[in-house]
Amino acid sequence: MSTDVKILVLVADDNEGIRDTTAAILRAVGYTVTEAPDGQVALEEIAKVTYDVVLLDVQMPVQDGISVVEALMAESPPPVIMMVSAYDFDADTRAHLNRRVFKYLKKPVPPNELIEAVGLAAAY
Amino acid sequence: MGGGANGGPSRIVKPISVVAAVVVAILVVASFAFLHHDVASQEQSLLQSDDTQLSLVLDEAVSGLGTSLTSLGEVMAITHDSPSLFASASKSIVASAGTSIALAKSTSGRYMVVLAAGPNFTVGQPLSAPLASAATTAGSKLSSSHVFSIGARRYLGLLVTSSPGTAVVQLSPITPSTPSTFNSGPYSQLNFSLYASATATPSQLVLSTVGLRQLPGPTAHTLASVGSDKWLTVVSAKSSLVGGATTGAPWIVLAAGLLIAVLIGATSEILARRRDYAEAIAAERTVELQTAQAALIRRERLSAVGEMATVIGHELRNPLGAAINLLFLARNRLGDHDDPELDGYLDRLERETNRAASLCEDLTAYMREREAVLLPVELGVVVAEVLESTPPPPRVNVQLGNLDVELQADRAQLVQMLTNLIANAFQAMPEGGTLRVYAKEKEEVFAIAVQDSGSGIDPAVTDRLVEPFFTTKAVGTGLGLAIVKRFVDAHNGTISIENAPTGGAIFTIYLPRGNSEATP
Repeated sequence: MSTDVKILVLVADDNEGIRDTTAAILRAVGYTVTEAPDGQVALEEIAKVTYDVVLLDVQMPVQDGISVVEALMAESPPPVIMMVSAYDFDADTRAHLNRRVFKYLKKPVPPNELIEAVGLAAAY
Repeated sequence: MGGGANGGPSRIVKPISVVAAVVVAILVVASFAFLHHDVASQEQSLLQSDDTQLSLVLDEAVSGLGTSLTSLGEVMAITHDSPSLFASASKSIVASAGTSIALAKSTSGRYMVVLAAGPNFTVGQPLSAPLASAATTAGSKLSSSHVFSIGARRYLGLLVTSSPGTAVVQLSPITPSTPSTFNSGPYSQLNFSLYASATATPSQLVLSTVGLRQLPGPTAHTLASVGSDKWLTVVSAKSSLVGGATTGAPWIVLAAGLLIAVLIGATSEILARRRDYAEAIAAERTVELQTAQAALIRRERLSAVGEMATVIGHELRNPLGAAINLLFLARNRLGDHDDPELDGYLDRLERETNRAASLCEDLTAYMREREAVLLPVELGVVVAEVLESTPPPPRVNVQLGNLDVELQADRAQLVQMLTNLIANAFQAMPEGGTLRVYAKEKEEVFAIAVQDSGSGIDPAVTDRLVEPFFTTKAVGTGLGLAIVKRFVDAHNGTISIENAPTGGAIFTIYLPRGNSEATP
């Protein structure tokens, strides 16, 4: 990965422990990472900056991950969105968000899997 | 519901039924005995009445004969024993075959025949001993001799003493061995015997409707006076005097009563059996209700436990995720180093953290309320995938049957089910062995079997194996089979757990082939 081309990643998770360690791992492999503690902040960040990849936790206060995806439905990519959740995604949700979500990840996400998935998303 | 009603009704007749039937039968027999005795008494009473009337008739006849003999004696006294008059007066008497008549007079203690008609008297001869003996006791009323024989014939003498020392004697032959006919008149329904004695002495039988035989059936006896002698009349009925209906009544009562006794016994038996059956059904229903209630209580308890497990599983994911991330960052920060001991610690930390994560996965998987999404799935591909992610431990062979089949199933759930079953099978064979996975297509179900060659299942715990948190393993969450059960249920399928004849256990999941109900 070239250092002069910054790849911007947004990590939105209300759990600080997950959020800052995930951001730390992605920074360690060279991404430029911004953190958001809820869906609303995430949307504000996306409105300000064009992110390449957005990692969205589903359950967040103020505005959850699914409503963030719904808000971004109309917008043409980027960003590439990945959903992360401690729960399974039911078939209806998947079908509903399919057009806009690149990948679904299940918590806890093994770091190697996270790096690989973000790498694929960034190259998408 | 089983038709058994706990073993079914006994084939042995109930004591209450037997008692009921026997009590009624005893009452019936007692009634019969009473009625029968009563009818017999009536019969005997009628018979006795008839016999008394007969003896009165006999009295009259004897009296009439006595009068005619006395008249003859008196006529002879007036006419000084005129032979011609005697002959004409006795003509009608000796007209009867074998009958003789004589006038005898006592001369120095012996009765000598003075006038005679008929074959058995000769003038100038003494009276024979039985007649002479009778003449000494005879009076003005008719008396008789004993029955006696002259030659081969039997005779009876009837006599009166018309004046002192003068006897008129009629000697008549009798044939008691020839049954007298008695078929008309008021007594035609009777059998009748007449004895010239006070007892039924056969040698003194004068006449009988049945010859020398004894009268059949119940008899009535009456003594009739013939001069100073007593004659016995004996009668019995040819047919019932009280009438057929009266005679039959006790038997009708007996037959009908015994039939009723049998019916009462049978009814009592039927009622007793129906009651037993109803009680058995009630007991069965009670057991069913109790079982259902117990199951409900257990389900509620499990549901509460399950919900708690889900919350714990979910809440642990974030700290575990953070720990896994931090471990990665720590390793990353350490970079290349030469500290095998530290590497060992970090490896153990990673394993333990992953195990905790896996437990969280099981906990949430168990409570996951998700309908099975049925799509065509290639079983062989799924099994290969499972074996790749859960590879067999050393010394375990894997034998796969023909898995080249397609079935309707929720792929993720099928993967989870087979993963859990295969992981269990591997754990059941710590010393090595053989894992067999095979499929059977039947008419309505699709069976997938996972068989190990371990030590098998204790039959006592088979039913509990699919309960959450029940485990026989030293290390295990007790959720693996519970998850399989839950997913099988989501497919409207069943699971069977059994020991293989060759050792080891067989876990078989049966998924309905139609499976339309579970399809969203």
